[in-house]
Amino acid sequence: MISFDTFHPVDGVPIYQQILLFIKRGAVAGTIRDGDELPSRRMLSALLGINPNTVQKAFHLLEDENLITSQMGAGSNMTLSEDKIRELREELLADDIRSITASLKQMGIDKAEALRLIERNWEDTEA
Amino acid sequence: MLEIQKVSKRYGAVQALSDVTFSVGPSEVVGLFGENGSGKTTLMKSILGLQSFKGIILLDGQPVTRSNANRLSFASTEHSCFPFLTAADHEAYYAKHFPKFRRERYVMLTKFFEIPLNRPIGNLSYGIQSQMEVILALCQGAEYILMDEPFVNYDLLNREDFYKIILGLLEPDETILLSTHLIEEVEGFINRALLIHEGKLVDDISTETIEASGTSLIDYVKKTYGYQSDRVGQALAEITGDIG
Repeated sequence: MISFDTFHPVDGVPIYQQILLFIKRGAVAGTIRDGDELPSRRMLSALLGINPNTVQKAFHLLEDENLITSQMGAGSNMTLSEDKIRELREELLADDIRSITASLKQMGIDKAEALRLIERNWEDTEA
Repeated sequence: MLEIQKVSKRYGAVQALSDVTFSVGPSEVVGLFGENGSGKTTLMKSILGLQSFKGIILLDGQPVTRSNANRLSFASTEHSCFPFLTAADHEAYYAKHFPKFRRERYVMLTKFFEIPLNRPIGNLSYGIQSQMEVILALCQGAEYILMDEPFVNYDLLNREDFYKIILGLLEPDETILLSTHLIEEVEGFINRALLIHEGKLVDDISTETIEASGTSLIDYVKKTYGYQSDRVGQALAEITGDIG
């Protein structure tokens, strides 16, 4: 069963998107694996204290992206192939890079300096 | 379906409600927001048939009368529990008077919230009495569960537990109408917001729509009520002479 103990929603981002991201990050990190079962919609709604409609929306999006399959009356399970995980990694990476680039630009930092900053941080930052 | 059509209520010179119209269907969790005195409680009491009003209120097409009133339940801070009866007595009483009383749910909730079963409710703390109100409203077997600022005497963690438990327990035919000032807290809990101002329904919007517009419920509500965030600074500046 996929645990949502480490799910901590932040303000300003729709919850269903945060659930989606939580699952994707888990899949890329390897903490969520192919075949893993999600809590039922009702249980997740209760655990997170969010409206069932919001949970429903997140599940829909996960289904649309072929990340989960849901059986009538039964639960929903992850469907993660190697290819899928690679795709997710690229997607998340692209998102992160985009937002870092945007904030660096916003601070008026040029490309050379940005690369220098990343270089300097690279050695000191833990994985 | 609970339909409120052009409902108005006047107390002497005060127009407490004017032409309020909306309807609520099964499995909705609706937040009712508004300033003190905006008409939230008056609206709830009208729906429950606790007072007269102008207009029409229908429960699946029928006016609310003695025969269908048990399809509505109400939790408020007015403590409608019987002070000399224990929680166990309340269970027996409700089971006798409400054919659809949800005994299993009652046992579960009283246990989870550690309600002493054998002490008169009147001897327990306000917090516990308030919890009993909500538990009874949830267990009566009503489809439309109305709550008027039910969580005021709760501590924070208690409220969070209640939101979660309610979401986990609600059956598809149950509906919540919750009046509260704790807007930020219930943002995720509800799926729809009704905004009342000076007795008028000024907005009726799904939280999904609010979310899609990129704003939070509290900011949306403040905007709707024309909240002026600079007033605090102005008032303080007048006292302190600080104009910076």
